[in-house]
Amino acid sequence: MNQTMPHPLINQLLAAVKAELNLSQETEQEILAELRDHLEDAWETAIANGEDGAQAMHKVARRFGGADVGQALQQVHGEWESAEAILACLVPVLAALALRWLLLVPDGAAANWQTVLVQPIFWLVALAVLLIPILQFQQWRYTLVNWGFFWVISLIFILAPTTAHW
Amino acid sequence: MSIRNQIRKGSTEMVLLTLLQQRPMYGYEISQEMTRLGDGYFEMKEGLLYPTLHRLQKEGLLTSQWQETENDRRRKYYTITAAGRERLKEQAQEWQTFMGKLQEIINSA
Repeated sequence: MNQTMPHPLINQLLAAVKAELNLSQETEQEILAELRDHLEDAWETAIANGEDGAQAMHKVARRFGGADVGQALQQVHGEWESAEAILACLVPVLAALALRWLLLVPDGAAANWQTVLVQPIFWLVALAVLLIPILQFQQWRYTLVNWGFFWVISLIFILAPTTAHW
Repeated sequence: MSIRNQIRKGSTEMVLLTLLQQRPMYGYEISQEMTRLGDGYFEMKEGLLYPTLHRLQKEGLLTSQWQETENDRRRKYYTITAAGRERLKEQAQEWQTFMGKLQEIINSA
């Protein structure tokens, strides 16, 4: 094997780590790219030091770890991703409640919904609820789904007369 | 777990913050520096550095940035933040107190 090329064992090590991960695709890709860099650096250093290819790679693998690395990474990122996903879901819920109870008052009906749509605060809140999570959260898709859900609910609420007093 | 492993585990965060206080570094570079400066004492499974680095980043003590190298490789460099420097200062003080107190107990025995 050409010793300047990454050793196939690198892919096996990364597969062992990946098997322990249950995170968003972006997070997993970034983690695996970083670990690959490390393994390739270690491999190239060993080769540059004149070590035999297969022996060097086994030494690199032994020093690096395997599934235990994936488990530790899952623990760190899993907790944060769950917390962030909850927060991402919560933002549109809170905004929808605020809009529902602050802008549609006093009777809670949708009778004057046209007046709501011309209020800058409505659009400010609606856009902020979408943009802030997209810019701040990796789990922004949860926000998008919830945001869309509340828009659909709002449209039903406005367009279907029988739902006017929900 | 041996006393060495316990001490090492408890001090990994401080070692990482200390190294990154000198300059931004990427993971492999950090592991090499830990081995070199610690004369092997802090040697650990290199892959286990990353969960600690990522946790420190989530806590706002580090930031990271991908950078291109001259041979078209990308490396993720970690930089200590102001909060990280503050945490390091607190930990270093605590460690000094701990070592002093431990030494007093050992000397009195």
